[in-house]
Amino acid sequence: MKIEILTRDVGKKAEILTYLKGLNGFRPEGGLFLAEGLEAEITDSYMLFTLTLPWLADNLNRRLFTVKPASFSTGFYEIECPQKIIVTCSARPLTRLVSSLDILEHLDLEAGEICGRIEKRWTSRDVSLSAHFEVIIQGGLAIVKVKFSPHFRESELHCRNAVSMVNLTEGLDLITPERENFHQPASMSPVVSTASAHIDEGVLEVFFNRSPGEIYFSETGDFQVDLPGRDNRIEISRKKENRVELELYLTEPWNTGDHFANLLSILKIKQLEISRIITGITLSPRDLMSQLGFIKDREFHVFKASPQGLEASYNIGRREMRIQGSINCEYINNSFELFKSMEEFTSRVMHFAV
Amino acid sequence: MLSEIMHFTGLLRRAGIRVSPGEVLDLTEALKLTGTDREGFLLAMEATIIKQESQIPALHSLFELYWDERGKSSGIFRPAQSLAPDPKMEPFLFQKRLDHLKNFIGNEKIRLSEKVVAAAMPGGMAGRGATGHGKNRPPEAMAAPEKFVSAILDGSEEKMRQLVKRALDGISEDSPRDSELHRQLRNISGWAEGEELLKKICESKTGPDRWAVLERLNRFSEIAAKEIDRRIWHHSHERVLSRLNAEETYFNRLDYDQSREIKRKLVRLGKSLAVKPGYRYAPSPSGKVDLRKTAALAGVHGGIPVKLLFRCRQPVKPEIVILCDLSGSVANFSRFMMLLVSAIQDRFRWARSFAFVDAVEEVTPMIRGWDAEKKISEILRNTGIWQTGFSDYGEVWRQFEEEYGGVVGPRTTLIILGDARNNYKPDGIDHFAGITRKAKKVIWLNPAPKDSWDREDGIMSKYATYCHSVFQCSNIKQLERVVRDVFF
Repeated sequence: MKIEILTRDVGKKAEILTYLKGLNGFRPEGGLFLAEGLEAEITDSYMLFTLTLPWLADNLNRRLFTVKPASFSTGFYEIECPQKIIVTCSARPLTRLVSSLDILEHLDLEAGEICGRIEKRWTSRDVSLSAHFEVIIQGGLAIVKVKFSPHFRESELHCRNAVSMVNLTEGLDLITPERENFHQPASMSPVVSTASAHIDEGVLEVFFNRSPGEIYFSETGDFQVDLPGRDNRIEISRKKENRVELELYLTEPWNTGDHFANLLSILKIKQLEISRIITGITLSPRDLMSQLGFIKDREFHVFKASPQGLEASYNIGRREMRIQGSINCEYINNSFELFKSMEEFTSRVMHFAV
Repeated sequence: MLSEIMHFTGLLRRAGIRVSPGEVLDLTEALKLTGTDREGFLLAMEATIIKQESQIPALHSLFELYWDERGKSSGIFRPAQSLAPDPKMEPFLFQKRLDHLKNFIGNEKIRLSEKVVAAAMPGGMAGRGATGHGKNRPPEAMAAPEKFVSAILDGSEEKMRQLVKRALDGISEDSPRDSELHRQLRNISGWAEGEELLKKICESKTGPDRWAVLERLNRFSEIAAKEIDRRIWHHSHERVLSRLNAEETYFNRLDYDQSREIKRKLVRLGKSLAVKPGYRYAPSPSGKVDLRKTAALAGVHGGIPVKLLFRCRQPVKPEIVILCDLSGSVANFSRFMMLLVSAIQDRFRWARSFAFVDAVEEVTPMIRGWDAEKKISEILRNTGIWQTGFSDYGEVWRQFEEEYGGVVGPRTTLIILGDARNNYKPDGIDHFAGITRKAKKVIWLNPAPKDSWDREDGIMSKYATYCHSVFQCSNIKQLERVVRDVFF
């Protein structure tokens, strides 16, 4: 799938470049800006984005709408849509597509040609945004021109709300079977065990003198101790009245050494919390409950489960899952099992993700 | 409605489409099946009246001009909802829309790029700080060429039509000729200057696709022609009808489709000449019974006609010599004449062709095949007939009599194709008389209008006295009549 978005509104250059900077593999190359699934040509008179990921096109497209005070009535706001979009993709079978079209202008089944329009509309109170998908298909290849047109005016909040609802994939889903990248892939944090404690400065002296890792001092006046094992560390910052705050991050607790459990007892840390957060994950309530063993929680959007000694909660509204567990510091060398079961549960969850 | 149909079929006849009363009856029957909505009406007419593919454009043009207004105002057309047309576009229209979408982003990029247009628009026509084709300015603030460029680059047919209509509104109602109307339209709509601007835009590196622009220019030209027709139709039906009638259109005014059709007719005419039966009979395995020979044979068998003998008429084999003027004044006519000459030559064993301008030379072996334009340029290049480029009939007759006098004999039909405009040079009438005296028949086909035969340097009347027949022959209808009168 190839999505081309052209806009003459170069005033958004800074905002767009800031967004692009956060994408994977972002780099300038010649006169272009490249990122994974994106090529951007930004000149003084226009910005042209060529994308292969529909979810990225959706994110970018929403940023290209402008909400501005309505002329002669500045208490109200209206939406401006300067962007022009062309999508080139493989097409669904014509017989299936026909029923999805709102307007059918041409149909030649023998030649594999169809021409028509699909209309989509997103409304927030009085203001609405319409998307007109002009579809032409020949030889199994669809070319879709998307044109947005705003309607009426409202408060800024409702205008922005309408813009946030715009979804190109809603229309494209009817036209093309290429649905792989319609949704932004879920992002997963690493499994990490954390703990925090407040101790006296005197205890710190004992810890440092027996520390198994290297100690660093930063310009901010804090210490960091790198422990054995990948990314294992303790951050130590000084607080008021000779108190010290410790933050412990362990991604491989079982590699910290034999005596680390004793050190933790010096630091008065008895338990480690192990957690992972998965954002942007879409799961259907049916899969959640029948396949993954979740049950509905009292809170409206939340489902909960307790697999293999872990606690998992999924917020279907925010599309976010939090998996957590805890382990006693005495058995820190056995934490590998818990990490493993968390990975296993995560892979099961990802299997059912849409 | 029947009276409207009768009136319309009358117009079709005047436009060169033959419609018989039986076909009108068929049409009324067909209308019962197709219904009387616009598309049904047109379909019924195509099915019952049209006999050749080449007649379809003329029918469509007349239908648009006549029925689109009358049908709406008189309520003849039933709304088409009852018989919904297929959702099917014309192939070229579908392809056009597809191309438009494919090139949409590219074209928009060009539109938004200031530099291209700013460089192309001279004298600040693009406007200070304008971003491409005056797009940010209201249309009324644009100059005419700028509007034209904008409409062409936009590619919207509606815009083009509006531009033509506005320009035609600014032209006086009583413009005398189509060409004058066309010329004024070019000036007022900014067409002439706009084309130059488009050329510059296309030449620039980042300019739009030249072919796409050319295609849109062609479309604009078609729209302009249609609108001019509509305008003329309101004042005089006759001008439009005579133009649509390919058979009565002068050879030099035929458009591409019409000339293709005429070429086909010319070849058909040549073939019909070839198979025309003469007066002589010859024995044949079939045909009429040859009574004399059958009776003679019966005498041998005791008066019983055991075997019937037949005879039939043999095709004529006239000796034809063609002299064809290839000078500039009859260039358009010559293109078609060469086709006729070629067709005749292919069919008659005794046909010899000569071409002349200010000298004459035999071109019989050169005239083969279809491509008349190529043939003419080949003749002019490979022979010495084009010395000055101006016809010199006196010199041609002298040279022909001296060099090719033996070609013409008492059984020869001499056909001369030319306009008899001698550029005020000696007429060589004695030589011409000498040639014609030897020939069985002399036929002169003159493409110029009859009233101009003796004007300025025209000396047709001098030569006409030595010819058996002189015909005006500037369109296929006249040519067919000549062939009918002379050969049949």
